Amino acid sequence: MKTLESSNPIVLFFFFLYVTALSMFISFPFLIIISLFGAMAYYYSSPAPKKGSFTVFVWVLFLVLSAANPLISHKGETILLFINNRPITLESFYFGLNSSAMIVSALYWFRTLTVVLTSDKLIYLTSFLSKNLSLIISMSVRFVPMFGRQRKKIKETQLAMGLYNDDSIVDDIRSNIRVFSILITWALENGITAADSMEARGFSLGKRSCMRQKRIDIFDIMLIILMSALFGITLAGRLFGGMSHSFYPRLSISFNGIKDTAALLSFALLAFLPVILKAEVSLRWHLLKQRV
Amino acid sequence: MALVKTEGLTFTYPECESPAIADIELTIERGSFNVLAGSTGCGKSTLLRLLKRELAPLGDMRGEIFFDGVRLCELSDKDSVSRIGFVMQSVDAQIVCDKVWHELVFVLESLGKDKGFIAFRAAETASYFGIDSWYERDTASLSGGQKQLLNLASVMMCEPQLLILDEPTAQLDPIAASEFIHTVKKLCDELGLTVLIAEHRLDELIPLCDKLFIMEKGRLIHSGAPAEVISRLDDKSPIAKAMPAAARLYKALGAVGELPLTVSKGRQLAARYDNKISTLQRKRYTHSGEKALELKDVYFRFERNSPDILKGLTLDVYKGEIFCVLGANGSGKSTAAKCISALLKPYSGSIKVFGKRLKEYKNRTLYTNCLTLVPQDVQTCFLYTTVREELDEAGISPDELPFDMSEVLNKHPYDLSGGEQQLLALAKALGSKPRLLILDEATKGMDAQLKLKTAEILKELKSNGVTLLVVTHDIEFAALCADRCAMFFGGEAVSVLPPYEFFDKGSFYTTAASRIARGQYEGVVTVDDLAALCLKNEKKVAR
Repeated sequence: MKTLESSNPIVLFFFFLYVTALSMFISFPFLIIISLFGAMAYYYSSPAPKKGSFTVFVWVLFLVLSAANPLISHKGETILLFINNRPITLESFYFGLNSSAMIVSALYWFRTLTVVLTSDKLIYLTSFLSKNLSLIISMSVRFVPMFGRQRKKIKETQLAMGLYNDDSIVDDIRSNIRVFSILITWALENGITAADSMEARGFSLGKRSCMRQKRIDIFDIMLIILMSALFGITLAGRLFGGMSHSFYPRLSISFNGIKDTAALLSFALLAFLPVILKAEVSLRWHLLKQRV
Repeated sequence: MALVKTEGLTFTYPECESPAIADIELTIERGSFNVLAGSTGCGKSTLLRLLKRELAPLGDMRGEIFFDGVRLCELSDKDSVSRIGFVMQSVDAQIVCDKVWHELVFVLESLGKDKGFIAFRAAETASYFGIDSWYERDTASLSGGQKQLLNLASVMMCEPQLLILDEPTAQLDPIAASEFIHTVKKLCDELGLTVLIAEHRLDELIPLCDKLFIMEKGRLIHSGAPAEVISRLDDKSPIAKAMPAAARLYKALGAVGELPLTVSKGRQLAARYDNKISTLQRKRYTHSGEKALELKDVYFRFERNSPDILKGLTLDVYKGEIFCVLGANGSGKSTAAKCISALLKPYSGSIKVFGKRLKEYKNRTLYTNCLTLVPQDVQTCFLYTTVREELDEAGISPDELPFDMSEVLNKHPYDLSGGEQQLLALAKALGSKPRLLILDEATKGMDAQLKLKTAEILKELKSNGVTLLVVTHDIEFAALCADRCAMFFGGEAVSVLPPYEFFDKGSFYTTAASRIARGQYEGVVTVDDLAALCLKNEKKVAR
């Protein structure tokens, strides 16, 4: 077996499609909790940069959102207290908790997506749609950070060549406009060279082909089948009336035995699949090393 | 039959009265290595671009271009793309994709080849060029030399018969440039590729080439074997200064016999002369004693966990001198320049400019009438559509400049040659009336003539009381203008000496003239020094 990241990007694509679709459209509290933990496990095991600041951001957002709902919505039967003669209800609090957990889990999933779906995987995926689109993405992936670096260089030049007059806010604004203007000129001039370079290498000849570096192997297909099956079971559980819940007027979560258990279990397996695969691979390495 | 042949090729740009190139009769043999030389603005680029149909400029073209016996305009689109390769000067702007492998396969994807074939070509090309170890990397993370090698390799993917290179090493440091040129030569020798290369840096190219073409003012004035062309070349021609040191020595001595192109042949020539007088009389260099810049135990690193870039750098620059900092890539030269200009902050050590610590310069007073840095990438300072407006912005009029920019005043800064852009940036820097001027790679993209001019400009600035710190790769340039040179290595200044001692001590990192004179004369820096010494001594009497 191999990890999800080293599988074909199509597998990655289906994984994120399934897991985010399920957690956004079935807002069943237990499913959201599973989704949140699955997302967190995947995120913290990924090589994402600046995990600390993202964690702080996400959980502050969680607190704000879950506190905001009871202040705005006053539906529900169980009144906890009154603020400004308006009731704060337990149900409204639960609802806020559930929806902010959903948002936070979605944030975790998408943040992980941007880390594991590297530009070459993105280009590979878009090449199914259009070869030119994938080329454009490849170019933008290069250009956007290049702009940032050039902007920094221009600012340094402006400073070190004494082109700022004095240390005032007006001057700072003016110089920032200047930096932007230089950046645009530079981009246009370099664009001409890039266009020449593309033209010289036959960009306008017509139909492009695409060298795919990635093969779809039997394991990729098995993974897609497995994920689709898990997705199907969870979805079926919902479609046949399972996992129903309501917050208002009173919290009611119906949990009807084997059907919902199966649906939740298969969702859990889906959500934790990347971490399970990772654990399996590293365990196998460990065993292999011991044998040697 | 020749691979490329032009007949009476004349080209005029729209709204221009005189043609950019006129009556070019160019013949390029199969499998040969051809060098096209000429000073900036002589029409080299126009000629090269006309030979690659996709890049041909718009305008009025007369005459004929034949490629492999067929008119160039009758070639099919696919053939024109795949049989003629073109590598440009700009290292960065030529790269289109974000991953190395994607850039490499670009041309074959354009040609619509099937993926098995592309994968095979990519694999063998990457292995041949030594790209395999960085095949999966981002193109932005490569060094200048690697980027240009990638540009070359991605052109070679479609197996062109003719490779055209327009100043491919202008933006590279000397070591990367030399590697690049030898890679091109290897392609020519091993694959039978026909190469046409235009360059300013000729000392290394000319000994390698089969045929040398010289252009002047839009005309092809000489063509033939290099030794033959150089011996015919007029000494006053601007391009004569760009020839290899050995050839210039030969001409300066008015020698007869075979014209030497390499250092070893040059040594044979010098050995014909006596060495009774082994060194030139020079005044010992003494500095003014007043420090303009003082660095003491400066340590710098980019991130907390990254290695030190500057490791206890200690350096004094005295008022009114030209101080050249030499060293390889990554030795901390540019970083030091940025630390001195307070763009980067060292974590330990002190930097004093005119006796005051950098911290004491409040509110950007450091940059007014005091210190100015001209950066490597000078395009970062151009804002307006004409040179005149640029100078106005900097608050300097063209007459105040120590050099003449009147001819280009109405041009767009981006239309200037690389060397002229450097001069314009220098002019803008002079607007803030600096007392300490720091130049980072001031000679990038300059031809030999402009380099000499720049050296004169720097000397004139010095005589006006400006202290200059010149960071450069260019050993020959440092030899021309430096009062003292420092060698940077591993974030330290290893040796600080006047040029005649500095270049005498080194045997690799030294000028070609000094290498020719090695063991025979002492304190030789330039070809003029060497020629003067040879002439003072008599020719050896044949025994």
